[in-house]
Amino acid sequence: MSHINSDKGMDSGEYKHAMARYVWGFALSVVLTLAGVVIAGGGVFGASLAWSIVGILAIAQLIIQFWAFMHVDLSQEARPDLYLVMFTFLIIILMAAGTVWVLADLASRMGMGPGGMTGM
Amino acid sequence: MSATMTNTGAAGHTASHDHGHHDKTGTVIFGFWIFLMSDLIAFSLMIANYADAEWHGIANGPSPHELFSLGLPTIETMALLISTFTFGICTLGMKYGASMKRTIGWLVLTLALGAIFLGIELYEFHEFWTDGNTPQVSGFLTAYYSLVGLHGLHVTSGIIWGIILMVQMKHFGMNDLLKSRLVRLGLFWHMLDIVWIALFTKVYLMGVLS
Amino acid sequence: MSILGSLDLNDIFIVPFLKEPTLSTGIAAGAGGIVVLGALAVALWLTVKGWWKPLWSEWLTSLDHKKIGVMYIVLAAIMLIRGVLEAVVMRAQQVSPAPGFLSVEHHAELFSTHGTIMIFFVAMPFLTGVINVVMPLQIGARDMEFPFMNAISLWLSVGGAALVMASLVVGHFETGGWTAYPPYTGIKLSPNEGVDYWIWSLALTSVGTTLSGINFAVTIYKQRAPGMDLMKMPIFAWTTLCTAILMIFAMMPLTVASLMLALDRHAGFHFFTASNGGNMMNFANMFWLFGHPEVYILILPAFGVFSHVIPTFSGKKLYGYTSLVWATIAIAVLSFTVWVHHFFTMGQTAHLNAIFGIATMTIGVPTGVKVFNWLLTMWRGKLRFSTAMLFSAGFMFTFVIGGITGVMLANPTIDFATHNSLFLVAHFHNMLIPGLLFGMFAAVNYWFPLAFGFRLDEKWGRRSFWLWMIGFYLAFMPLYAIGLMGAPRRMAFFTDPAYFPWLVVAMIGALCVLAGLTSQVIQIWVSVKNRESLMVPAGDPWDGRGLEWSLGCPVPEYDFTTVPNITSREPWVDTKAAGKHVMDPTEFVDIHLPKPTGLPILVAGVATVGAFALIFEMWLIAAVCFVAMWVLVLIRSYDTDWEETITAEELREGYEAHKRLVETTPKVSLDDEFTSKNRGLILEEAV
Repeated sequence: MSHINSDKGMDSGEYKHAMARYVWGFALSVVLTLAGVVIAGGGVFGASLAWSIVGILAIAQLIIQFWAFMHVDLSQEARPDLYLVMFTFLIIILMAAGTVWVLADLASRMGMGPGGMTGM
Repeated sequence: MSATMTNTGAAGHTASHDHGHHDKTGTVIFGFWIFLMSDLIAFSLMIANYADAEWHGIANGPSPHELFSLGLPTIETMALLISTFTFGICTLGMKYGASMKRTIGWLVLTLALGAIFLGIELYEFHEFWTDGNTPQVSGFLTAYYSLVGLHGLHVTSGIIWGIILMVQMKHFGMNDLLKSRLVRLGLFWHMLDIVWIALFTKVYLMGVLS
Repeated sequence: MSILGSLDLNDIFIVPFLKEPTLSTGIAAGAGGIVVLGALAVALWLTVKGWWKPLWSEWLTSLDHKKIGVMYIVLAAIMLIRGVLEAVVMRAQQVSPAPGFLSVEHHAELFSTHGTIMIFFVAMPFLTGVINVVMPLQIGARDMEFPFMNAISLWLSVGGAALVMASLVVGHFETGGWTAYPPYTGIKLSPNEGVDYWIWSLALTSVGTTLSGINFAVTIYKQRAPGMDLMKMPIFAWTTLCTAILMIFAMMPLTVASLMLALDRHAGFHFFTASNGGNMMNFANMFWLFGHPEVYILILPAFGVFSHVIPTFSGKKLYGYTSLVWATIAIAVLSFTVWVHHFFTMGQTAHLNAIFGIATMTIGVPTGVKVFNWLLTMWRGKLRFSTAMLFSAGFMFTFVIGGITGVMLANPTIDFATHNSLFLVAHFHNMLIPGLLFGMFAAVNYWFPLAFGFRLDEKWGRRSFWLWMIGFYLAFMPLYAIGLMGAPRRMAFFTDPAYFPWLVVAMIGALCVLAGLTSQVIQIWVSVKNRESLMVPAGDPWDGRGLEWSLGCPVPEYDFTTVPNITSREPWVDTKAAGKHVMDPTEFVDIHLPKPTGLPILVAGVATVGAFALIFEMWLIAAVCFVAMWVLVLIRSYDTDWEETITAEELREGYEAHKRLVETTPKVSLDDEFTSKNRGLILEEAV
């Protein structure tokens, strides 16, 4: 496996195949981004439903970009990267979701509604 | 290969070519992956802090709903998205033996799109700032400027790094060392777009919905 | 504002004493004086001996993992001396009639620097140093994967430590404890440079540690000898891998939180302020997102050390390798799920506290598994109580007590009664002194010959162990007692006479520990003096079991003449069982080692000056240093001639020489292990 050199040229099928992955990734990302903008700005759905949908669209786009641009997939050679990314996301969920959870819990006990403590 | 392979300052090299399986370029790139993951932790903590601040830290300042619109941020997002695609074309071509001219051409386009992204971001900062919405106003604005600003600093360093690489390509030629460095910058750049998906969704899309 | 920022004459250590001579300012001036005079004395000594040049060319610019490791340990040792002295001063303060001889501010600085130093500039460099020396030798690697980055990590840590030392001479350190919680550490309540010292010294060292983590993880992932799959890897390499993963992911929250605090202080931001929508509770949250995994960064390497020392000195294979590996992994993952137990009393709901309380108790399970592994390794073994083994046995005995008080504190209802009391202080010293320091002392006593070629003096080693062990119990058991009686931590003085007898015992304990530390200094000195009789050139002085003992002592710069093929967990034991004392060579090939370079020390030096400039608000100098640092990195990226070659022929000669040495060295039995007959190659059976 080499990350930087291939013995094939730019007219090879392998190159076109790899390129197709970038094009797909790009096209899907554009579609998902615009869909998010339309849903958030359009007012078709209720706020909480729209909030969930844009969240899901973002996660989908995240996975697509890891796959298309950073070459994280189920193949054997991408396995270390895949495990690394999965472990990182486990830690991110623990840390970021944990932080939001702890701080929201604290806020619930301290009369901190939306808008901060000025109302106390 | 080993004689010309070196590091980008942060990454050194020890030669153990007697290990049959040892692939130095792959190792440096894997090390860089780990660094990126560690960086991702920093962004995720900033996002968590932002989520708390936009909820409880508005104080006497504006709310996200009052501050944000989707127009400019969408254009900005598209610029960065196109740039991550053009960087992909750049590194893919490089791997399959594209000329240095083509590689530099795509890299220039990528960095230019990155500069457009940055310009829009700075314009937006400027607009908010002149309206009196500085980071010193509230916990929410502090979180906003530092989260988006941290990403902007990354893009800035990516652009500077890219310019240095172009100079070095002229200096060293398109050897394996430069290819490895370009691939690492590419990973950095793709990662910044992935981070931006989260930022754009959390800050702007969910901001106007709040 | 002048180019020197907020720096003025009153910041120089001697000035406050001259203006207002009290015992407290006198001690501060004395400490500053010791730093200045100590630095001058060392400089003078190096000049007289003419050692500047060899120091620079053989040590400071070296990229050899063993030398970098030794320099880390030297850093830890110097800082340990300061940390222990501070502890003795604090103990003395509390037994002198209230309000004691230190001002309240000065006492607060002392417990803040004591904590900061012990965690970041003793524990971290100590374990990083031991990993650097030993881990590559255990897995059959010739160096770390990224030696240049390794040196950068080292010198950034040194830079951070230098800043903490500088705070004795110029200005003050902070007074908010090693955790530095805002809003107390915000600009309003802590307007001087103390908190900035804390922020920037930690920023330097935490970047260094993150890079070390990447280096260790990639080295273990990519550089293992052929055939050494993960489940054949030595336990110390396993604990290093888990520690590295924790370093990679857990240092970031500290870096982020401390930089946010810096922005609050100097840019008027509102991350943690008490007004304008800041949330100070997020600082505690982020600090402990780092802080809890940090506890396991500290303890896991020591667990690895014990897993090698105990089998060696019990003459038995490690009991339950697989369970130890899985226990290590479990501890590493669980360590990310318990951080809230450091602030049970901050105000969150009982529901949330209960979840984190249970998660905390869960960590006790894999830790208990490990203790049983070590006990069962010793069971029916032929035990030899070397210094390293004494520290290991002392660890097990003492650590379990600390673990039990930890499970008590994990219960939120008990924690409400004991938080911020001396009971807590006793608990974490009870974890970290055996769980970190004893492990590192064992490691130094055990692996010292690899780096220097001679053993350490046993007599002074054993004395140091007993003094540390007894000193620990005398110093901290009383704190459990008065903690339960209600004594809060971080008090400059107590007025309750019931505490007094306990504090006197603790004072005696602190002096005992100081005597233990002194014995270790004497141990090194005596060993260096008697090094001829302690030499073990043939290697393997303890009937060792790991790959590192297949090498001659001191280990040559290239480590291995040929990288061995690994077929079992204990290849060196197999070799010896086959009646051989040298591993069969595989294939001799040319190898490339990195040339020495002064760039890492320059990069870190410039970064340190920049950090000092930030502390005293010299923004222009800080900016110049920042740019200069990256220019130096850029210079390195143009350097393509940075390797030197060692030819296959030289390696073959090295191998032949070692083989001849081994053949001519008389074999000695275990009974003579600690005598001057031991020139390496100790054998289990009497010869």
